Amino acid sequence: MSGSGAATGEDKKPDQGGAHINLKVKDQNGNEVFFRIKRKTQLKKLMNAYCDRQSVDPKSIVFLFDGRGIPAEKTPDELEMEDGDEIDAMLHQSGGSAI
Amino acid sequence: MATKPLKIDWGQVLSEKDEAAPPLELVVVPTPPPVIASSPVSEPSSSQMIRSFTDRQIEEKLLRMIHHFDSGLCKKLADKGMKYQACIRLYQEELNRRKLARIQKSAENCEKATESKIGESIGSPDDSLATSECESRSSFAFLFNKKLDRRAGSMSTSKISSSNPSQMHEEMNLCNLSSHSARVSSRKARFTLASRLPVVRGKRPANINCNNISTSNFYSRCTGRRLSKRLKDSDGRDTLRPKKVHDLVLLDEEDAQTKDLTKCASDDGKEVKMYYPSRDDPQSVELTYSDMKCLEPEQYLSSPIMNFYIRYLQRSHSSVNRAKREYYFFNTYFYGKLKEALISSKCNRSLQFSKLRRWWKGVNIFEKAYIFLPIHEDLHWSLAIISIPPKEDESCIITLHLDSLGMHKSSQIFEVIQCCLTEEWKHLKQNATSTCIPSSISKRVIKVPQQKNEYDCGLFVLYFMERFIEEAPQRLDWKNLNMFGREWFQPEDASGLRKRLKDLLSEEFESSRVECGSVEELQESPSNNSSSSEREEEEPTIQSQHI
Repeated sequence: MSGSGAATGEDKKPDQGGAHINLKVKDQNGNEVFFRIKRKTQLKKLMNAYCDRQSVDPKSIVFLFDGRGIPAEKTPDELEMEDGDEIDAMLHQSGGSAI
Repeated sequence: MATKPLKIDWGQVLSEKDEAAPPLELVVVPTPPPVIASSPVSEPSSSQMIRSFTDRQIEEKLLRMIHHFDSGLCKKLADKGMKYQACIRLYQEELNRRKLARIQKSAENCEKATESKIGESIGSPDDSLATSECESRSSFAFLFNKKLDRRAGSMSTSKISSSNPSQMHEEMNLCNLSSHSARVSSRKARFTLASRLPVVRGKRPANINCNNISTSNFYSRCTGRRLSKRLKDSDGRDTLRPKKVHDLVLLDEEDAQTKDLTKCASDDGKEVKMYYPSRDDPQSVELTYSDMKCLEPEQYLSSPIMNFYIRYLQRSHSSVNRAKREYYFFNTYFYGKLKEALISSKCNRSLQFSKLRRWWKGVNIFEKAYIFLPIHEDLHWSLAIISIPPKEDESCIITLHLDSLGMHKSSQIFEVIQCCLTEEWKHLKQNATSTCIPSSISKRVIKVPQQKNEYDCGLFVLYFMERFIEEAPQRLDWKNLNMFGREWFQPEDASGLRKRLKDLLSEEFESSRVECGSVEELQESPSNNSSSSEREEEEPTIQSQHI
């Protein structure tokens, strides 16, 4: 594939456990989707891909890592994510009362 | 077509027979058709004979027989058409059985193909998928037509179907079954189609894929909590499928996804987004302008707003008197996760809990004075407060439940909290970091002002927090519980929070817009340079998916 210029530079660092990271996105029903993403890629891409795949409105969902919201511009490295870490995809809750 | 209504006293004709042959026996199953005890035609010989016919023959025969039946021919027969009707039924069963078998077979084909090597799966499964869809459609069309024919035909036919609930049931059942198998096969289509991508590069089979995703999404949205267990069960089965294939298959989808991603991104662009308190805050809350809709009169409060105000309270209190009081705030999602980890899976509770511990990593919750735990269940908000006694004190932990409607089950909430504290306790003991941990947990449902409407419970929860922070002593004692009560505050005070919240948020949006504008201008140029060249390379790759 093309676009290898910048990428190969990072790939040549095996000591850091690779440039990629595997992340698991889990929803409230326990369904899981696995992603492989570069450590330096903004997590926005993962979130958009997830919403797109699951046909979820990005506005109706929140992604949590260790219970904290994930800012779209952050990368796995910035959030100190590790390989195999789990992200929660939670639908927004709403409540008044149930009648 | 005959138009003369047929007068048959079905009550008399069917009365004794029906007892021997309850309608349910006619439910179509893929095994050989069930034999109706009372039916005089259904000897093995005749059903075997039918099996040797081709589909077309059966269909023609069936049409002819129905036509005859309609025309009142059987009235003249000795058994008033009983035998004739059973015969029709038999033919229909055979036809349905064949259709079902075919659908199932093609669904199986799909599965086999996706599980085998990709190379093999390129050609055949798509074909079989197409046929399976065709067939499910055609079986539906057939039934639909048949029904139409009857409607148009005569009164007597409609009488048949209405006086013959078993048949109706059978038809509906078939519809369900066929649509089900169609769904199953189209779900598999995702993998099949993905494997086709190398062939039809860039051309994304959007319609089918979307369809099938939306089905599953619809499923998960509609089913809610009650069905979640069932969904989980099916996950279990799904995970048994070999993952390797998916990895390989979906690599090529990167290209297809690029378009969708740009589309998504542009959608986002329209929406004003804000991070509270700031983008770089580790516990920031993301809000979009549309989240404010729930602050309109009589709207239910949503979690982004709840979490925003919780974060707001947390910040304003900690900046004022950090040393004096120690609070810990959980967000609205925690309770659900906690309950799931502790209640649903007793076997690996410790494992699940150790994952959850990361929510408060670096914090010893037993060193806090109070822990706030907002609870969301069944479209209702309530609040739990955990009061921890000071280290040197031997008194017990007090857990309080505040519910403005008294709707949530306090006993269950207390149980979950107790489990959580016990697990945390165990964990701390193992690591021997803390020596003195309170020995017992007491629980109290607190009487609080009640909401007078059906939409303000979120506001009440936030207001409970706000007032509690203002009024609670450094450490809670039993005698302090007098501070609560039905007359703690006026319900209108809590409802008034709606307006305050709206003003506060508008302000925050305004200030973040000003900040963001300047920041984005600065960031714009470098990010643009890199994104165009590296976009394809940077796409996340979906490895596998279990729904």
